[in-house]
Amino acid sequence: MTSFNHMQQEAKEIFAAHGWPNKRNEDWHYTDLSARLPSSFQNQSLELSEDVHIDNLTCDVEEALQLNFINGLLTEAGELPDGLEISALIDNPDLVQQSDEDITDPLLYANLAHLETGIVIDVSQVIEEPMEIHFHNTSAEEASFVRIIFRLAEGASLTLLESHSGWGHTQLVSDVYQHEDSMLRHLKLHQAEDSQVSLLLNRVSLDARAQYHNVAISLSGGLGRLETRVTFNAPGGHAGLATALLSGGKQHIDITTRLNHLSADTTSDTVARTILDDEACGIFQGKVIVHEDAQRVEATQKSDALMLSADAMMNVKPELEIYADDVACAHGSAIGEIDHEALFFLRSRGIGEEAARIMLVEGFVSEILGRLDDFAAGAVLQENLLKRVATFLKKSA
Amino acid sequence: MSALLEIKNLHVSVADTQILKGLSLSVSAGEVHAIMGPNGSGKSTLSYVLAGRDGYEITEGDILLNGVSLKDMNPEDRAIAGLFLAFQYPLEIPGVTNMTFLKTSVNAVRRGRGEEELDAASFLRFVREKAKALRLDDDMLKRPLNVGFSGGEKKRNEILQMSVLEPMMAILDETDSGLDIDALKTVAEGVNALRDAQRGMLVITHYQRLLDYIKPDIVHILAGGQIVKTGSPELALELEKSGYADYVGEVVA
Ligand SMILES: Nc1ncnc2c1ncn2[C@@H]1O[C@H](COP(=O)(O)OP(=O)(O)OP(=O)(O)O)[C@@H](O)[C@H]1O
Ligand SMILES: [Mg+2]
Repeated sequence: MTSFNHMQQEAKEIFAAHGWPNKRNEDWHYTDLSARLPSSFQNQSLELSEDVHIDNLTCDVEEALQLNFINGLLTEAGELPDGLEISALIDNPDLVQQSDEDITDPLLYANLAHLETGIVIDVSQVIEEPMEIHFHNTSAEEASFVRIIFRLAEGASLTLLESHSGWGHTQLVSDVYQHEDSMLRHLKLHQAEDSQVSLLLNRVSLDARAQYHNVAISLSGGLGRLETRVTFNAPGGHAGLATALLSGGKQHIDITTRLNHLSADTTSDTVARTILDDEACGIFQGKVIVHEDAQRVEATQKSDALMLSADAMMNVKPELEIYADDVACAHGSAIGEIDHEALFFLRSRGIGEEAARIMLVEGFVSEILGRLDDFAAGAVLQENLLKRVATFLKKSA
Repeated sequence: MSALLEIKNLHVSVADTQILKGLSLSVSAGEVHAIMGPNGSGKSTLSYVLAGRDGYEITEGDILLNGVSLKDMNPEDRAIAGLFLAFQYPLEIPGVTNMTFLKTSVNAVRRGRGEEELDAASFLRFVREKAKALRLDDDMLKRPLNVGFSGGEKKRNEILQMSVLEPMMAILDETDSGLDIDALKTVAEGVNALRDAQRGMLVITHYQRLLDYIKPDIVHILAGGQIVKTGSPELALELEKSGYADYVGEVVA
């Protein structure tokens, strides 16, 4: 067994040799990290002079189990219920080795090279209360590198609320292993400051009949890459990825998804709704791969963008790689503006122009928020998120 | 006493094309006027310009509601002032439920009129009662606004909006098109329920049938961007028989 330190040393060497990917790397064509990120980070020692107030940046669900990472260090973990266990990743080097076969992947070697905190969360049964994991950086000098591995046992289920806020650089790799019949509902809320760089890689591996439902909402942040890769290992697996991006200013937000259907009889459904204002730049790169033996796969992928400004920019790169013959796959994308007729219709009913715009834009993202219906505390989450969407829109109106 | 709605020598162009060419018409409180006219004569243009749609330029003339010019008023303020247009082609708005829309609209108008907003419970009671009268079931209130509604359902939904907004001056643009006979009666009942001595209505239609149920006081014929004839309700019956042939020639382009 390779030791953890040995693997980390290897990752450091690769990072030193290759650094961040640039636009010549096909996966990073639209998001050139080498141009925007420093080649080295100084890991700060954590010295919090006062309590960090992050309440109003989290998902705000009272009954949630709370794990807080401040500047990359786990500072708070409430009492865990039966069926949830947390252990240190450093004691499980084989897990890292198993999931990082392809250590040439920049997000992986960069994460491992700088890793500050790594944990393993084991879910062995149905957990009723949602679990919130909040990541916050307290200053522009802070860089946090965290790895979390989730393992859901057969039949286990969890609602995970992940949120990101603050400044600096944050890089999270979360790996999810879902055994048969397990279910993970995963909300990712990205609401960072204008200067933050957030690289969030989320890898999911689904066994038979495992269900993964992801809703990602990005409301702000300087540069963000929200990447999700799902691998379907056995029949019956399903993944739903729904993303709403609302970006303004000079934000650059990149949604990259990869659905890798290795097994027959698996389904996936990817929806992205992007709203861009000012000079924001949005990217949707969605790839669906259906392997040769993966018959009867159903995979749909859809990206819609609403441009609120002529200076905003949207790049869409959908890819279907299908090697099986009996499959139903579809993708579609559209880029448009506010519908002026609809706007007039609402205004003719007494609704002021700003409120009417907000209504149309909320309508545009409501399909995504609607996917939270089945989440634990779904109604509270929807209400909180709608308020934040409205705040974003008021700012940009 | 001045008219409720007064349209004076209205000239309107759309995309540099003159559509309305000196249209005058006045509706007093308590009256229902019908406008009939051939396709493309400018009826919807008139309704849009009354409601304040962008791109409809008034090059001459004026529109007064209760003596106040609407020319520089935006669409929302016209609604607050009491104007309502039932669209010939109602818009679909995905992601916004009919109920949310209605509530936002009613409360925006109430706020604008200096009235108290309705709380969620009283609004629900209010809108349910109105919807029931129009035979629109609760399910239609929960669905996204007009999305997947049938043609007739969309029209009934327009009348529901009118019922909850209680406008002083309503313009109905071909609200009868797409309605089956029962729905036509239901819609007419909804419209008639609002008729009173203070309100006025402008009913645009191609067919006498609607006017059997919503009895107009006055009928106008609009052709070539002008009112070419104004008369009693019998005028509509005449048109039913002989068409517009006698009128379309009268306008000098
Ligand atoms: N945006 C536009 N640009 C150019 N011409 C237009 C525009 N909108 C309307 N028109 C023209 O104005 C004329 C009047 O149209 P309008 O829709 O008002 O007719 P209408 O009387 O309502 O007809 P219908 O009975 O078919 O509903 C038509 O010739 C139409 O083509
Ligand atoms: Mg018309």
